[in-house]
Amino acid sequence: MSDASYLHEHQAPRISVASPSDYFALLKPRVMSLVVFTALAGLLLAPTPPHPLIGFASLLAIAVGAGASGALNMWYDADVDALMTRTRKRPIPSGRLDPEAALGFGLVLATLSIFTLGYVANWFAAALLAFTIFFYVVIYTMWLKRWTPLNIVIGGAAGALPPMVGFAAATGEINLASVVLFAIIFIWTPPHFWSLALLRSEDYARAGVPMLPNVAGEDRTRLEILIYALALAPLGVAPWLLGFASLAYGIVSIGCGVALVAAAATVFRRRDGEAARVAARRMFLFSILYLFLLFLVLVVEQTAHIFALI
Amino acid sequence: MVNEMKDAGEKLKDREGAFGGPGVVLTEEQARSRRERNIAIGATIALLAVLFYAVTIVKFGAAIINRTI
Repeated sequence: MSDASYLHEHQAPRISVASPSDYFALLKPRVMSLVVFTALAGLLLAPTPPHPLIGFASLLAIAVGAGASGALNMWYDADVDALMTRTRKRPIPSGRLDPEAALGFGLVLATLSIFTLGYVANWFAAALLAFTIFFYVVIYTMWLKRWTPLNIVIGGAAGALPPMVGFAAATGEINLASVVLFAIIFIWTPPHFWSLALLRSEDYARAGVPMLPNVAGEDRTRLEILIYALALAPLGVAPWLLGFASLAYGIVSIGCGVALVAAAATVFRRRDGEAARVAARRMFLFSILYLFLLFLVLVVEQTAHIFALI
Repeated sequence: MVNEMKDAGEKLKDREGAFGGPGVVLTEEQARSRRERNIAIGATIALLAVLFYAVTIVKFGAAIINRTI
């Protein structure tokens, strides 16, 4: 913007009308809440829990890092978001926020979150958070998303890293337990998003995003969802089998795993009409509940364990 | 550069009330959103300062009062 625009008699100054809630929406709050929850589970797995304030500040830094990734994703994907029903009301495509403002906001928050985590926890955790942001923004958003139907298979690693970052923030290292939590989210991601893609395949086709239903067909997608669910169910039980979760977790994970496979099998069987859409929607919603319940049990029992130590 | 500044100055002089008038006048929506953003930025920076201060004290622990006088 040139200075002349400020000097022109009848021209209103170009001051943004974006509200704080528009900037908050850039952070993808729902994704951020899941990241905080899974990072908390990783943090609580530490043999010696950190000071509560250090733990809180670490989670805050991880949350802001996730939010920065969301803002940079919305900056880069504004063109695609404008074409999709699900995303066209986001702050940039709706015109409430300039792309440059979102870019600056995302970069500042990313830098701030990494250095804050380095200061309050340790630099290994900060490096892992930096890698997570890089993977989501550059590898997934800029490279994989518009190039291959395997976008969310590989890109899912970014969403799966928070438990490892949380554990690293508490201990300065990673262990088998944190890797298992990573693996659970990593395997959970494809069937979750492919269920959504079955419901929104026209949206993705219009935007030119190569999701599996648009590239390989809906039948192949249903088969892949079932295969991933069959892999995820036993993997979800692994924390109990490996001894870092209780029998209560084992029972919940087995029950949820059976229900997940049943939902995936229904998606596989019902291929036409409204019944197929209902099955895909149920699979999508139950996959959220599945991950939430597994991590909820982990968080509750680890918290109880810490209070017992105190 | 000097000429550009002179031109800008002339424009300001030509503008009625440029120095004695209202100056930059924002629309109601611009003023409201700017005020909301200012409050959000101020609150965030203040909370960040408090957080860093508290974390520093926790990290130092009892050693924070152990200094040479």
